[in-house]
Amino acid sequence: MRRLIVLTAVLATVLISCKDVEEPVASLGQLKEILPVQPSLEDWMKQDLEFWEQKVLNSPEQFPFKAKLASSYGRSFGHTRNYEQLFKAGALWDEVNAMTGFSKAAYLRAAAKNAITRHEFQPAYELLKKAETLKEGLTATQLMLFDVTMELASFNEAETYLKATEDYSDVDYLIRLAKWHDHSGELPQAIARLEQVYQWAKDRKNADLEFWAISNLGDYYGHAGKIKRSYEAYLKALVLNPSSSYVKKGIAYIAFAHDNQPLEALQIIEAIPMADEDPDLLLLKADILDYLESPSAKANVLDRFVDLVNMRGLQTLYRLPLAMIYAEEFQDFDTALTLAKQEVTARATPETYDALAWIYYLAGDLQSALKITKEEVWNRSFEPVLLMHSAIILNGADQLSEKEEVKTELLEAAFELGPLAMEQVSAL
Amino acid sequence: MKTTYFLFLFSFLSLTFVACSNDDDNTIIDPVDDMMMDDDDDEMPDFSGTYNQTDQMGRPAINTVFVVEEMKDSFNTTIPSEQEAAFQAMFQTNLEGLSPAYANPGDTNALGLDSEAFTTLLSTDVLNVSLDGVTTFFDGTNVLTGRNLADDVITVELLLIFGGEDFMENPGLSDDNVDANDTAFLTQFPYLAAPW
Repeated sequence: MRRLIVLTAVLATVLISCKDVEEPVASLGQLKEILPVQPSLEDWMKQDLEFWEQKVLNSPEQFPFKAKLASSYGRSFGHTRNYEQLFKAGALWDEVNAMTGFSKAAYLRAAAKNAITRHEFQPAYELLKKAETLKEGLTATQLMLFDVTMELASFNEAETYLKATEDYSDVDYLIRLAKWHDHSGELPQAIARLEQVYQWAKDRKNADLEFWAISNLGDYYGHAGKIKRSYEAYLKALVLNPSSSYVKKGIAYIAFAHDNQPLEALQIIEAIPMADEDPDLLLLKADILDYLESPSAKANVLDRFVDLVNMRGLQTLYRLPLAMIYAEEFQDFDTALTLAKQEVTARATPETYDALAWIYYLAGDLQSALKITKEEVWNRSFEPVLLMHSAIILNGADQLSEKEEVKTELLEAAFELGPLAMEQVSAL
Repeated sequence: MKTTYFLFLFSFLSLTFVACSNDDDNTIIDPVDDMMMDDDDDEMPDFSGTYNQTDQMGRPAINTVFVVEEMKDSFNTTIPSEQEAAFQAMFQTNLEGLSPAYANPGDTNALGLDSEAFTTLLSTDVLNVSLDGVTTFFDGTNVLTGRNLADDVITVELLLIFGGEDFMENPGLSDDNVDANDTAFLTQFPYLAAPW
């Protein structure tokens, strides 16, 4: 009982500090016009797609036509997030590489990029290693090998590629350097590099890169607790791409996790076109409904998420959230563990091991959770989520020695962890 | 114990950038001292610094065909005046690989160029232009004095590679069988036909 009182007191402090000390950042009024803007293909993109579809139909033996069509589908996916087009592009790249005997580095890179977007990291790695031996566009290949080895938690190999591509005048390198800093727990340096990329893109009116840099800066400012700055970055991103549901999701998260305005956050999500077709938005919505203590509404949203992921063939991409839902929502721990183990096999990162440990913990198998946490997660990542899960698991076994330090660190990441998680941190 | 589902997306964030590699935009910039962003949109772009060559394409398809995959990066970053010294031998090897008759002593194409002379010409990958003559890639009389949009460039190149001394050899390999653009070119700027 005493613990509960302490919990409530700490929780109240957290909430009050969010509510009263700082002003709400996200303003629904300011976003009224922009939230409903839908993604759409420009006319030339549609024509390009139709043109190459027809060419491939007439001459299926022409691999250059297939490569053009695959690029066209990839571009469309980038604009619409229509996963069907991503899968079509992937199938075409497979055909193109088979037809050219895996001898063109540019085609191998294109196939790898597609595979990465589908979270097929091992196949992407193999394609890129092949491209590396062909040497053409070596720097581009090595930059991508850095991306993939990071996802596969081959951090030594990643560092080798980072060194191989070192060129401080190349924004592609600076992007990787930012990622490496983030991985190493050096967030200010990561942000400084991304700001450099943003300025570079802005100076050269490279709108795609400018949008990419400023929307990612929005995320990084959030990690760093600079919420107002994060919001401003998102607003700038929306000027460049008013239809980005990725950016709108970031703003909804600010309303929820920083402003403590869950209802406003829900309104923001509802105003985004086809919000029910976006798995990320559904997950955020479920968390907000959970926080609002609406279990049946939350269950509906998660059902919708599972249906959508299955319907669109996104089981690999969303395997971790699926595993969590099976564990917590459906109490189906066997399925949850199977999924989490598949993810660990696909990429054995601290993040995936953490998910596996967490599911063991939810299933009541503290010993397995503890073993994985100690061997694969603890002290291996600077991600607050992982630290929180590890702390809860270690605490459950009375093995969390630096409890107060950990708690302080987690409270500093209150925004990133979100209100639901903060309840658990306070309970430590 | 509650699980925050959305948290599992944070590990996805890093994936939103995948190889922004863009061959066309690799200009050099000075190190930025003040890395903080400013909102001054009137600022002039900074074009100072040293520029590097990152790509190279003179005569259509020549780089594509004669430069092997592993030499592409090197060829693309070599300025034309240094290309012959660095790449003529590779061009000759690849020409004789494609069209073995060139390996025979004295074998030439219709311009009277043997393997070495022809690849010496090709390996400096520029598009020649005659300022006072007829502009054409090849019109039967004038050779490489420029290039018109309607010139059948690929067929000319195939003829010079496979057609032998009289353009009569290897007829199956010496014609791309595309004799005209599918849409008429414009008679005024930008001269190109609309893409669709």
